[in-house]
Amino acid sequence: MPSDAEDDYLSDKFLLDAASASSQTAPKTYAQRRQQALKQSQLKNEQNRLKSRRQREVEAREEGLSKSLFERAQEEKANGASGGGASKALGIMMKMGFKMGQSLGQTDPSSKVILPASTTVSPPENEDRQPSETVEESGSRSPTDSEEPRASRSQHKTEPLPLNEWTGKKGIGLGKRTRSPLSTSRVAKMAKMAEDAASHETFRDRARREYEERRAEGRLGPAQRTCQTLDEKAGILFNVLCLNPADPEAIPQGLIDALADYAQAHGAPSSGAESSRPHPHRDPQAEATRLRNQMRADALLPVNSSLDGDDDDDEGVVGDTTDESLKPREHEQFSPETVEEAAYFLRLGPRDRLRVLLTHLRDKYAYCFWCGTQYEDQGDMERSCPGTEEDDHD
Amino acid sequence: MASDKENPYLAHLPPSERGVSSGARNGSANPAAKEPLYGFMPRKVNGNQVRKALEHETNPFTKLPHTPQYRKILEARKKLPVYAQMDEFYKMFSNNQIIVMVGETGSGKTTQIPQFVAYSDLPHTRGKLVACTQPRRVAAMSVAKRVADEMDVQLGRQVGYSIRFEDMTEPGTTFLKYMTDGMLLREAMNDPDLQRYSTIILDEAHERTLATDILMGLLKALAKRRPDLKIIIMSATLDALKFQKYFGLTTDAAAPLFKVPGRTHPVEVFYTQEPEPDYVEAAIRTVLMIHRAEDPGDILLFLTGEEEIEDACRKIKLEADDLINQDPDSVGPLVCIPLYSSLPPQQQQRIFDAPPSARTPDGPPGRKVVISTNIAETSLTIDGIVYVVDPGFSKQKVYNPRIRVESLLVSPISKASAQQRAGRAGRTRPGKCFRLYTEKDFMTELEEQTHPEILRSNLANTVLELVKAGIKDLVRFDYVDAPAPETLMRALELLNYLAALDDDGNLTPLGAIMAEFPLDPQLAKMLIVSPEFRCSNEMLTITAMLSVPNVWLRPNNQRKEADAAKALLSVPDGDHLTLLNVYNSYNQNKYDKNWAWTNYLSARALAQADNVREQLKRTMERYEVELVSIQDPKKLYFAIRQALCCGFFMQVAHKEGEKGNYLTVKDNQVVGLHPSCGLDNQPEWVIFNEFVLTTRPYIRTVTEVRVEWLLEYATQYYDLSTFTDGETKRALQRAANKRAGKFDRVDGADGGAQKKRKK
Repeated sequence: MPSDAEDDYLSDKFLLDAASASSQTAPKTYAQRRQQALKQSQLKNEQNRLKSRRQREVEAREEGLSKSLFERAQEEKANGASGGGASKALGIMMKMGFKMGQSLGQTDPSSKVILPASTTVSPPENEDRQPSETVEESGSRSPTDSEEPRASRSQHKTEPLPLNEWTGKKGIGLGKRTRSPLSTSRVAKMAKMAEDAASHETFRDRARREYEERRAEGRLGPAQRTCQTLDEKAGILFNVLCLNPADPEAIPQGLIDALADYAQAHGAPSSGAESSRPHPHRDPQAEATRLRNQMRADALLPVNSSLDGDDDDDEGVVGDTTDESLKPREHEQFSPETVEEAAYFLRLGPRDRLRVLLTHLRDKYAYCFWCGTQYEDQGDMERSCPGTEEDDHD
Repeated sequence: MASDKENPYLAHLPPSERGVSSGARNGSANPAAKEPLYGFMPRKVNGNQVRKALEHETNPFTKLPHTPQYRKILEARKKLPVYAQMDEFYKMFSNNQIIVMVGETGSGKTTQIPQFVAYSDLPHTRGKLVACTQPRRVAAMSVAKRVADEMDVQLGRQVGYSIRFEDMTEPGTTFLKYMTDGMLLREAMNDPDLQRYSTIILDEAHERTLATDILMGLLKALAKRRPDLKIIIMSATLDALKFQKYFGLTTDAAAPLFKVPGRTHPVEVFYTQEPEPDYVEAAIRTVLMIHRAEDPGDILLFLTGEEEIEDACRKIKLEADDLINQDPDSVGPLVCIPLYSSLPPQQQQRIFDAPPSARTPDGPPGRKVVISTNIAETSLTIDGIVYVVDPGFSKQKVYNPRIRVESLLVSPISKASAQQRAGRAGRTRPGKCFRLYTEKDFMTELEEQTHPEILRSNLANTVLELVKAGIKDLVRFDYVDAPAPETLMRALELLNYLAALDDDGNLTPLGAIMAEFPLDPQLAKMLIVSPEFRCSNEMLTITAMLSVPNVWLRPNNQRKEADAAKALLSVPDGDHLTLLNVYNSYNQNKYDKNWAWTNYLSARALAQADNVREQLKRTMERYEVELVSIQDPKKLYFAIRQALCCGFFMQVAHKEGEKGNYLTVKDNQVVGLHPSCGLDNQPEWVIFNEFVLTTRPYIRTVTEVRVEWLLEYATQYYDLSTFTDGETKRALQRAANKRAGKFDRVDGADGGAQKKRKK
C-alpha cells in the first residue's frame, strides 16, 4: 500500500508533503508563484500557531504542576473563599490527623532508632535481620536475596509523581531525567535568550551592547553576593546563578569537569555518570584555561579582556569568600540538571545572566535588586516595587 | 502412612475409622473407600492424605467417579514444581496465619495453591469459600476454567469466578472462587470482615495494582480481628521480602516465605557499548542482526505504542525482504506480528501462530517476530521466544492531582521490569536478551521498581469504597506505599462536592448508594439524579457505553471509511449523545454483528455495553432509581446534558480565543479537543469525560453545556470567589449577572422564581 495511505488525516505530514510538492515543480506564471507564496506563508502561520500553542500548553502545565494543592488551599483562604473545595478537603484530612508536610500512611517508630540519616532505606528493611531464621526455615532462600541491591520500601511520598515527557526517540542514557518544573522552564528561557543574542546586529548596536554588557557585568557581582547571602539564609549552599564565567577558579572543580564533559557531548544532556567519577586533583590554573578555551570554542561567550578589570575589583571581596565557601563542595556531585543549567547560564551574555539572576531573586526571595529591598512576599513586592526594570526605578 | 498413625486428632476414633489400616482398605466397611476425604481435619491435613485423595476413584466434591481426563491432567500437575513441595506447603499453611509465597512463572502456583488450600480448609464442609484474586479479568476467567477442569467439576459450580459485571458462581455450592482484586475490594466494602471466606489468596501481588495494595492494607488489619482467616500473598518476583515485612510488622517477625522455583532457563543479557540515539532504529537493526546471525528461535521486541509498533513492523518486513532478495540462501523468511491491547482479539491470537516454515526443505528456517507493548511483559505468555530486544521504554499511566490529568507518556522502565522482560527469553530454552542501553545506564538511570499503581492513580473511587467499608482514617491507613497527600485531597474534594461525603468526611446516604455502583463517583451521581431530569434510561445507556472499551473501529487502511461511518452516527451537540445514538442504533438493528461491522463499530464492545447496562439497571432498580424517558427528542437531549452537568461539573473547559483552545476550569490547563471528538463547532463551555496527556493535552468525550446549568446545578463549585482572575471568571461573572438580572425582573411578578434562585 502507498505509504501515505497509512497516515492519519490529522497528521501534519500532509502539510509538509504539500510544501515539498509545491517546491519541486518550478512555477511558471506570476499567479502560480503568488499562490505558492500564499501557501507557504499560510504554512508558516500554521506552524507558528502550533508552536505557540504548544508553548502555552507546556507553560500552563508547568505552572499548574509547580503549585501544590496546599498552597492553593491557603490562597483560597487568603482570598476569603471559605467554601473552597481544596480547603474543605484539607479540613477533612486535618480532622483525620493529617499535618502539612507529612506523608500519608503509618510510619514505623522503631525505624528512627535503628536508622541513621539514611532516607533510602525503609523502616521495615532493617528488621530482616531478626526474622532470618523464619525465612531460612521456609527453605531455599536465594542467595541473591540479600546481595541484590534492592529498592527497599522507601519513605512514603509527600508529593505526587512528576510528569516526565521523554522527547523524541533517544535511547536511555541520552534523555532527560526528572527535574523540577522550575529549572526546566528556566533552561528553556535561557536557551531562547542565547538564540536571540546570536542574531545579527549593526555596529551601533554592537557598541551599545558592549557598553550595556560592561554595565551589567558590574551589576552582576553585587547581585550575586546578595543572592549568596539570601541562599545561605535559606540553607542553599550552591546556586548555578552565582557562577561567573570570567572567574573559573570560583567554579567548583567537580562542576568544571562535568561541564567539560557536557560540552564535549555537543550539548546533549549528560547521562549523569561523569559527576560520580572520582576526579583527580588538577592544577586550577590549567583548569581555568581549559574552561575558557572550551567557552571560546563554543563561540557563544566572548571572553572579553576588558572585563577583567571588573573582576579584579570583585576578587578582593567575592573571591575569598566564594573560594572559602566553595571548597568543601568540590567533591560534591552535580546532577546532570545542574550541569546543564550551569552550561546554559555560563554561555549567556552578562545582560541575560543578570536578568535571569534578578528574576530568580524576585521569584524566590521577593527581593528587588533595584529597590535593594527584600519584601515580605510577592504581594507586598507587587504593591511597593515600581517594576522589574532598572528604568522603572528612576 | 506413618504420618496417619501419628495424627493425634484422630486418636478418639477406633483404628478402623482412622483410615490407617491398609488391610481394611478392600473391605466395604472402610469409609475411606467411599469418602476420599475421610479422616481429614480442617487445616490439619498433610501431603500424604491429599495425594491419596487425589488418586482416589471418587471425586470428593461431586461424589462422582473421576473421568479419564482428570487422570491425564493429574499426571501433568504432578510435574509442576509446586506439586513437589506439597508437604512443605501444608506444614507451613497449618502453622501460620499469613504466608508470603514466591513462585516464578511456570511454577503452577496460581492453579495449584488454591486447590491445596481447598483440601486443607475443606470450605465446602463449613459453608465457606476460598478466594484467589487476579489483577486481570481474563486471567480470573481462564484460570477458573482450568482449575475446574483439573478438579473435574463444572465451571460455575464448585469452582467459579467473579469479575465486574459478571458473576459465575453458585451460592452455596461454589467453594473456590477466582476473582479480580477489584471485586474482592467491593465485597469488603459491604462486609468488612469478609466472613464468607476461610482463606484469601492475593495472587500476582508483585504487580501492585491499586486494588491489591488496598486489600493488603485491609487484610493486615483484618487478620487481627479474624484469627481464623488465613492469608496467602503470592508474588512472582523476589520483591516478596517487602511483603514479608509488611505482614510481619505486627508480630515483630516477618511472615514466613514459601518459595517455589520456576521452570525457566538461563538468559544471557547483552548491553550496548554506547547509548542509542534512536531506540526504534536500534531495535530494528538488532532484530535484523539476530535474524541474520543467531540460531533459530522467535524474537520478542518491546516498544511503547500502537503507532511505533506498526511502523517498526513495516520497516522490519521491508528490510527482511531485502535480505532475502540479496541472498536467498542466507536467511529464512520472517513474519512480524504486532501486539497491543487495542488490537481485536482474533488479531491478538496471531502471536500464537507457528513461525513460517523454510522456503526450501533444507533452506534456513523461518522466524517469528512479535512486536509488543508491555502487555507481553506480564499478562501474556508467548512460548517459543528465545530472543528479547528491550529498548527500555514503556508507556505509563500517571495521574497528577495538581492539574487532574491522566498522563500516558513514554518513560524508562524499571530494573524489575527489565528483568521481567529478559525472563521472557527463557521460557522454552536458554535465551538471549539484548538491552539497547549500556550496563552503566541500567545501573544508574533505571529505577529499582515500577511505581505501584496507588501512586499513579486517581483515588476518588477507592476512597469512596474505603469510607463505605468503614475505614475512617484514610490518613493513617496502613498503606504498603502511601499515595501522595494531594491525591487523597483531590479525591475528598470531588466526593465532597458530589455530596457523597459531608464536611467532616462522613459518608452521606447519597454517598452510600453511589458506592453501590461499580462506577466512578461522577457517573454514579449522574445516574442517581437522572430521574429528576426524566432521562434515566438514556443516562444508563451512556454510562454503560463509557464503561466498556472503545466502540469505534479504525483500521489502519480504512481510516477514511471509518471516519465517514462515524460521522453518520455523530450527534453534533456532544460525544455523550453520540454514544447514546450508537447504542440505540445497535438496538434498533437487533444487535446485529454485521451492522456493527459495516459501521466500523466493535460488536464485542457493544455486546459488553449491553451486558453492563443490564447489570447497572439491576442496581438502579435495587435502589429504586426510577427508569424514565422524555419522548420529545429535543427536550431529551437538553435533559441529558443537564444531568451530565450534575456529575461532571468539575470537568469543564472554557473556550479561549479563536484557535480551538480550551482552558480547564480552576486548573487553567490549556487543552485541545481530542481528534476523536465529534463536535461540529467549538462551543464556549464543554464538559469532558477525561483529561489525558499523550502527545498533547487533550480532553476526550466532550459535550457542549450551558453556563447557566453549571451555575444552577453546581452552585458551590462555581462560587466565583474560588476562581482566579481570568477570562473564565469574567465569563462566569457575566452569566451570573445575567441570571441575577433575569430573576430580579421575574421576582417582582412571581415569588416562585425567588425560591428557585435561593436554591
